[in-house]
Amino acid sequence: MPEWIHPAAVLILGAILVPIFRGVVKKVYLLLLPLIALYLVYDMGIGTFGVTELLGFEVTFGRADKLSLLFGFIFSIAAFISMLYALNVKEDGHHMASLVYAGGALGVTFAGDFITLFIFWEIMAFSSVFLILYNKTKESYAAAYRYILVHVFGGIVLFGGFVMLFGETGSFAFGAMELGSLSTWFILIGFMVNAAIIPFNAWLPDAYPRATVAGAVFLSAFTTKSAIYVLARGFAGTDILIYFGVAMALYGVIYALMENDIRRVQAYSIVSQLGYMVVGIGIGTHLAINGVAAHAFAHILYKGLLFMATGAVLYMTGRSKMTELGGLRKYMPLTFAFYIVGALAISAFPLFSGFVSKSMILSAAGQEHMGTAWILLSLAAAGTFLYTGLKVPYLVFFGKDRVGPEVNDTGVAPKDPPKNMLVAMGIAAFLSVAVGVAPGILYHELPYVLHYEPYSIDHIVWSLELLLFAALGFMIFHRALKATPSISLDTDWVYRICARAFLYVDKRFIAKADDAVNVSYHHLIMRPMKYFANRSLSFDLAIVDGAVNGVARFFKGLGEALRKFQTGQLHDYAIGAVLGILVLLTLFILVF
Amino acid sequence: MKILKIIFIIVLIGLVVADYFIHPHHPHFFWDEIPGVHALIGIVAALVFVYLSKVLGGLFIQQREDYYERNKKGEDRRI
Repeated sequence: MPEWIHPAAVLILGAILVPIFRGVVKKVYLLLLPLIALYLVYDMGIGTFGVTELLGFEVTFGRADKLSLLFGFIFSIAAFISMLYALNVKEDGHHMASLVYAGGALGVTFAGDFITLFIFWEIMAFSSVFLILYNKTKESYAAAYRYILVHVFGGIVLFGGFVMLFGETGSFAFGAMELGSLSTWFILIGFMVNAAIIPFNAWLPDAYPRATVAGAVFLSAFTTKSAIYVLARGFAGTDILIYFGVAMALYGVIYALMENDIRRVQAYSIVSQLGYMVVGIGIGTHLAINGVAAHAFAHILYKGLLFMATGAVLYMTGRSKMTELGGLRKYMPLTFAFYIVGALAISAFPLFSGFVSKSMILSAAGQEHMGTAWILLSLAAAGTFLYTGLKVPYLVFFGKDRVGPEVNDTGVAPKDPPKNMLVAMGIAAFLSVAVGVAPGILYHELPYVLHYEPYSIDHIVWSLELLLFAALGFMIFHRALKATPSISLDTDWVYRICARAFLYVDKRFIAKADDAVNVSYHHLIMRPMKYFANRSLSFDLAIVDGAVNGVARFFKGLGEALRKFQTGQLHDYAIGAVLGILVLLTLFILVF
Repeated sequence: MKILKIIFIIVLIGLVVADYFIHPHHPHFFWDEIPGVHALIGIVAALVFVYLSKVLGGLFIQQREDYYERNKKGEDRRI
């Protein structure tokens, strides 16, 4: 028994055995793996583990401190809840990909050096893409292709960054960095891609809503939050991140309000919430980093819950567009209740998890007297309630009945999803409330020891003022917020249209050049060859014809008929000569 | 429904009144001493975001759902 087992190894190696199990045993096995990982994280304790040699360098697989342990802990919980939600998925490959993906996130979390970090970073990218591919629609295939291209780009930039950093420092150790040299910029951009920081944000709302129902729940937890973790460790206190973060928080709200697809609303909402964490990393004080860790923890739970609830709507009705939904409260009451818990948590209502985590980041901005950032983030907080807490429930669960047995195609009333999905939502909802009611448990595990009291009378009154007056605003303006069947242009426009421009250039210029090469090839090689072929053909005609005629003299009795037959044979010779040229040409192409 | 609305309005007024009696020990900003600022931010947020999403959406961001599928007639068919 080795003294330390990497929790990522349990998930990644355990994934290999998934296909050999059947039925109930498989379900138990799938749930057992994240639980073992959770226990290993819980049991790990602070320290450095798994130091070994790889590619001739010393690498650290297990750097465990309060920050990495907290992220490892919530990633393991998220893996368990998501797996419980995903048990109805039939494909083994889907389960294997999601286990490897969760393992990759744990690997990144405990990586003490860039080599280990990079390996798990890429494992995450190449396993998560299957969760999009398994949706098996044309749009998913295209989105998955774009997703992997973006992440390969991010990975290459990150790789270039830490190799350059090695040239400067002679070490692959991953720790706090000062933004300055080109290498640190490369590393930052590599991290920014996975954290969906503007302008590298568009892959997220492009890909997540096209993933499978269960896949989106996994996706919502790992990629972006592991990027938040590495940013918090590497770039805490990097001022520029405050601007990026505020922009993300506002961008996410505006786009979420414009969006029609409920899962894409949640995807934009992720970017908005990541904005708060990025601001916290940019502020970089102890309170701010505590706020980032707490908010990431709370966010994984309530965002997973919201993706599960919206996914359940899609799973049971086959629809995810608000223009095609309405009145679901009657048919899916439990899903509705869980959705509302998630919405109150993300909106930071008192007694819900978002209240005890988001307020830390806002307080950190307050302590540093960042007035503009504070106001903009407060606006975004009210906006968050506007779309998740009011608009989406109003249009999906209330409003005109568009999904009932009288109006849908099947004539059957939709109902709440299978039990395992409900239980998964229930656990996430319970934890979201538990963190909000008893924040001390979470605060005790935060990276820095600080006293912070979220439930002061001013915080409570101010938060309620903010949210309830936003609700008043919604009551006045809600007619302007009706959903429209539309999509929203984002920064992916650049590469999606650029790809088309590339095709145009290819067609217009590269194909022309290709033609020119073909023409010159024809003139320079084909024609001389044909010339020689014709010469050999005439040689053929003269000599062979003559010889055959000579032979024919021995058979004078055959007369004219045979002569005609002979000319036919000569025609065959000509074909043979052309075939010979083709064979020579093929050899020429193959050998040279 | 009407009763709910009246309760809602009473709660709103109650919150702003309560704000008069709140004086934080360590105010971070000058507006921490002004009652009702957060209420103002809340309702302004609703107005600003509804307005921004409408205007920006109408300008160029919101497009028909087949935006990326249209105009592909010229696409390469050689493969």
